[in-house]
Amino acid sequence: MRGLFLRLITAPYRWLCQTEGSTRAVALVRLAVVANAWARWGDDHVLFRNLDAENMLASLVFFVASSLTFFGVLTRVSSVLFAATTFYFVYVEGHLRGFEPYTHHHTTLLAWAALLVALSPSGRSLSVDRLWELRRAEKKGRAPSPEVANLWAQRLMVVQLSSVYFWGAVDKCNGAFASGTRMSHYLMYYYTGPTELGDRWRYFPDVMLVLSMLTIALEFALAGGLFFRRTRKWLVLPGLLLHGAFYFSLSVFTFTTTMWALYLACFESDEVERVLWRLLPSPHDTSAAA
Amino acid sequence: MKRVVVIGRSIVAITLALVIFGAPFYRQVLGGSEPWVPRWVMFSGIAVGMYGVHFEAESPSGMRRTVLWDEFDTPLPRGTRHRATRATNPHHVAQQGMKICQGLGKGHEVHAHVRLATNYGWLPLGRERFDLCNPRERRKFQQIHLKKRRPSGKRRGI
Repeated sequence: MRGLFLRLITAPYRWLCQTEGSTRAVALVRLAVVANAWARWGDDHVLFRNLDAENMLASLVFFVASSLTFFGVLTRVSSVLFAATTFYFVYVEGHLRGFEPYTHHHTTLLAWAALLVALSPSGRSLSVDRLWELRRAEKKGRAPSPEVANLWAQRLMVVQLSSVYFWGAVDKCNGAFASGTRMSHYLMYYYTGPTELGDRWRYFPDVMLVLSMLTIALEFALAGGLFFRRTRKWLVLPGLLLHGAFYFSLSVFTFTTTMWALYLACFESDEVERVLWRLLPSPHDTSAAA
Repeated sequence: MKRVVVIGRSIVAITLALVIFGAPFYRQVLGGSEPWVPRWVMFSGIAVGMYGVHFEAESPSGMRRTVLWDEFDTPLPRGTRHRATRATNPHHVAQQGMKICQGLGKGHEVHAHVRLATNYGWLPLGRERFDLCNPRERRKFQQIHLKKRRPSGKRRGI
C-alpha cells in the first residue's frame, strides 16, 4: 500500500521533472508558436498602426524577439523577450486596458505556449544556435553538445493541453450543453439563423445531442489520455480532427493551430526521433525508405 | 551546484504545473472573477442573447403551419458572403413577422414563439399569442418582450 502511494507521487514527479530527451520536438513547437503569434498579433502591430511610443517599443520588441526565436538566434534570451511581449498583449493591452479581442482563449493559450517555449531548451535543435555550436565544436576539435536536455517545460505543455481539455469539459457538464441546446445555439448563431432547429429538420436536436455528448467524452478522454503512450495513440487523431472541425466550422482564430503545435509535445522524445529518423534520411539515400 | 539547479527546476516545474492545471479551478469552481486568471470556457458566451423563433401561421380556413424565418426572404445574389441572421430583439422578430404576413397574403395570422439563448439553455419569453399581422398586437408583442428580455451578456470569443 505504501509502495503504491509512493509510486503515485514519484511517477508524476519523475515524468515532470526528471525526463531527459531530444529537444527536437520542442524546437518544432517553437517554430509553430512563433508562426501562430505572427498570424494573431503581427498585423495588429505593424509600425503604422499605432505610433505611440510604448506601442512602438512593444511592437519592435515583439517582431525582433519573435524573429530571433523563430530562427533560433540567442534563443534563451530572445524567447523570453518574445514570451514577455505576448503576455504584455494579453494581460496589459487585453485585460488591463480592456482590448477585448486579446483576452480570448486563443490569445491566452498562445501567450502561455510562448512562455513554455521560453522555459524550454528549444534553441538547442533546428536553430542558428545549433549551427554555431556545431561550428564551435568543429573548431575546437570536440564533439558537439548533444541535442538532449531535461524536458520539464515540454511536459508542462502537455499539462497545458490537459488543462484546456479538462476545464473545457467541466464547463460543458451542465444540462444546457449536455442536452445539445448550446450546440444548437452555435449552429443557429453561425449558420441557420433564428429559426428553431427542429423546424428546419426534425432530427437536428438529436444530432446536436449526440455531438454534445461526444464532445464532452472526447475532451475528458484527451484530458487524461494524452499523458500515456497507450491511450495517446488512439486519441491524437480524434483530437486533431476535433480542432480541425472547430477551425473549419466556427471562428477560433489560432486556437486550433496552437493546440496542434502543442500536440507535438505529447510524444516521448524516442517516438519523435523515430519519426524524424524515418522522415529525414539524406535526400540521396533511398535505402532508408525500404 | 547541480543539486541546487535540480531542486530549483523541480520547484518551478511543480509550481507552474499546479498553476496551469489548478488556476481555472479558482474561476470555474470557486467563482473567482479576476480576469487575468486563466479559465477554459470556450464558446460559453457565444450566441447568448440570441433569439430562437418559431413562427406559426394560421390561414383564414384555420389551417396551421410552421413558417421558417427566411421563408419569404429574397435569396441573396450568388457569391454574397454568408452571414447568418441573428435576431436579438423583439423589433427584429416583429419586422420579420410582418414580412411573413405580406408573403402569406391577407387574412392570415402569424404568431411567434420566442426563446432567448442563455448559457443555461433556452429561456421562453412569454406564452401570450399575438398576431403579428395586426399592427396593434405587433406593438404589444414588442412592448411585452422588451420588458421580459434580460441583458444579453457580453459576447466572448474563443
